[in-house]
Amino acid sequence: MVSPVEVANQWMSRGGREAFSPLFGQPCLVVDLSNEIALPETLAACWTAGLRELACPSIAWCPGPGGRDRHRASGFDVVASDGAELEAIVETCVAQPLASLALVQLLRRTEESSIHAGLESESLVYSMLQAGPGFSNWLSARDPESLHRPEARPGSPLRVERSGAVLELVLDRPEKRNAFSAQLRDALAEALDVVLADSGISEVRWRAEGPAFCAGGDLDEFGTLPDPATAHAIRSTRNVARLVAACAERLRVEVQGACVGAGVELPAFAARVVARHDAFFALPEVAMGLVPGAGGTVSLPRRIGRQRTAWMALTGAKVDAKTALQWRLVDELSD
Amino acid sequence: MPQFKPGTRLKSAVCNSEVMVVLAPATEVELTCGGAAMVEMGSDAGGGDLDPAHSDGTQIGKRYTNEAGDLEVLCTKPGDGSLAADGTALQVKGAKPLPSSD
Repeated sequence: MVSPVEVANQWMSRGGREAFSPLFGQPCLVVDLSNEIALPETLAACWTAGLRELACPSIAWCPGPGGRDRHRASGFDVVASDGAELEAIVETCVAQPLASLALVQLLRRTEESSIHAGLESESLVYSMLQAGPGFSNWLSARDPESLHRPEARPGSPLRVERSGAVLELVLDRPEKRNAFSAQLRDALAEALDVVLADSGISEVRWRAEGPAFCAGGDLDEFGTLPDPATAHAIRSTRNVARLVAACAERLRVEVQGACVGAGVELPAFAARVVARHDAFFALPEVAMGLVPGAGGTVSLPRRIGRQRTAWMALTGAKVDAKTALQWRLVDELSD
Repeated sequence: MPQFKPGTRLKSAVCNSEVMVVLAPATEVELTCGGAAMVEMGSDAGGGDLDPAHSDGTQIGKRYTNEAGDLEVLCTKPGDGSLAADGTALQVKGAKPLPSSD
């Protein structure tokens, strides 16, 4: 851990910037903001700009409750407020340095770009990481016994029911914890097409059968992509996040249990998210060498800001329903 | 017989089905659901009985086309009747398959 003055001095020095890189043994930069020493003015300006250009995640160390120093941490990628958080974030940066870097760079821009541009950036980054060593290591470390290659399943993973002006979408693969498969992607795209075509639908209610709303991407399908460049073209062609965002104003989502990966990324676009008390939210992708890929780097920053989005993605921690409400990741709690 | 424009919303006269015209031929065509001519949304449904020969039902979200491929409708509300153009049943047009991008 270094002080702001030390970092700024190194940043200013000749060739100093290259040192802040996972390629030179620095997968992240932790800066101690726990004391109130002010930066000399000459350093303050390059400091703020520098954080945005850094080739590794910048972590602000702000111990203690209340986020006393949060205003000083505003340019940072992520804030750690206790030792366990800091350890978890640094561990992820060490284990998956390339995905961690790509994540924070993505979040530095998606917060300010349009939804469409943000989704495009996310998909490009996701595809890049699909070709990286972090993801292939994660794939090869999996227990092959745990895999069930996708078989054609009878019936649809989504029930679509229309009653008057209300369209109800129900995730209906509880035995798979409603994992987000290509089949579910196609079914959602079909249903959301109807919403966009028919202005007579005034409300879309989206919920899920079983104890979990959605456990995220279907792990059985991970690694089945044709190739990363084609995978990006697939996401550009049929993109559920784009469709969800397009009908967000009419969308109300009720979530429970696990809301992981796509299971939080897609609901976060909706105008109204109601969480049952047992709901929890997590972004596990960076630990797999990837970034959130179902629109989460666009939808979550719009609700909770880029630092908390980075915090979720870099810690992988579960955020409970109560915290989610405080953060406005959800709008309402239910029994 | 009417001539349809893309974007026109139609409902069945004899069941709950509703569709939106996606693609329409330049010529007149008789579009039926449940054996009865479909009517524009907002107009009087007319009533009548479902023809058992046209009762395979419609599915929400599915696109239906004729053999020539110049007529396509999107089902926005399902019902018991099935769709036909000039007496020939429309077929479900499946979405083009795309592999997983994961």
